[in-house]
Amino acid sequence: MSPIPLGILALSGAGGAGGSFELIETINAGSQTSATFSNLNTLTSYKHFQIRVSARSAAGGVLGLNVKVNGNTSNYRNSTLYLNGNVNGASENAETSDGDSSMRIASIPGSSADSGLYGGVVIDSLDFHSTSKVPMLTSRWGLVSGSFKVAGTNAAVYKSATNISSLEFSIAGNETFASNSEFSIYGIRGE
Amino acid sequence: MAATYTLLDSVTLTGFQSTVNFTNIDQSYKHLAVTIERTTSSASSATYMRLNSDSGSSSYKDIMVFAESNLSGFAIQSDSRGFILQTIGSTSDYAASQIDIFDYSSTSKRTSLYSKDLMQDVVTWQAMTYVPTTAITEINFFNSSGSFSAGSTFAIFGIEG
Repeated sequence: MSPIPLGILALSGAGGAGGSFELIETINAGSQTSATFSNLNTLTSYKHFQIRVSARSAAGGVLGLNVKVNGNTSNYRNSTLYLNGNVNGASENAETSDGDSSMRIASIPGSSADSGLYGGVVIDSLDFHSTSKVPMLTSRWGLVSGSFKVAGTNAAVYKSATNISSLEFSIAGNETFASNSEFSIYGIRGE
Repeated sequence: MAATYTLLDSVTLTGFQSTVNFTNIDQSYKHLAVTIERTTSSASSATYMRLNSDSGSSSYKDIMVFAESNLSGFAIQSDSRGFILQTIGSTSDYAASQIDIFDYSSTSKRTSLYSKDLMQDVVTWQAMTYVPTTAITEINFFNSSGSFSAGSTFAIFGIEG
């Protein structure tokens, strides 16, 4: 078998040397019910973006991390593939939904999970300035503790062609983010 | 604006080597990304990733799904060897991994990790938790049997945040 080119991993951010992968902003969402990246339409130097999240809910068990595009409250479609596990076996699950009020992009732990456990999430969006393409976000995420063992990947779209100017993250049930819940957005250059 | 995805260290092996270690990891970044492409000298050899040279059996918890002829998965709650990445079936096989390590310098969070591993006919992805709330200063790679072969590459990147 031939070597696997590491370039196939580049979509997730590898190979960003030379100023092509740059931090734009970090939000500490602790004690807040939402975290919003605004004015993304002004980031004309970048073709794509990536968001890295380390977050936890101040309440609940395992809760959805949702995102709204441009403040819209309808017209989303979500798909999730996730593994819900235990030591002796794990179940693979797939879910789709349509017409949602936000994108379900990941799951994060809440206060009933092990202390100090924060969900790690990487979110990618390609060609986010395009006004002829439907905005799509893809993600990979997971959380593993004594009680909860879940790993998943999501794809979600806002079903109207538009550029992305803002992203508002929130927790299902309008719960509050725990302290030190952080969102960083990175711009990725491209032709 | 300065680049925020920075190569911290990399190694390409020129001969057989049983372990690869990244030590004294720069603590000034928010996240880490590790990419690996590897072959081994022994068939059916699993690659393990240990953090901070920690051999505590309760330090590593992960859940893995793998797609081969179908989807399957399992959780691992106790393994003193660390996180298992993927088992390489043949000495002629290459496997590639990308590992995200979130908020690795925090001393209040348990470190969350996510990896994708690719090999001929097999894809795996997994979420992992390093249980101790200690900063990650060292990453150790080794195999269940045999050594990494010449040409295997390991790289670690720091990501600001």
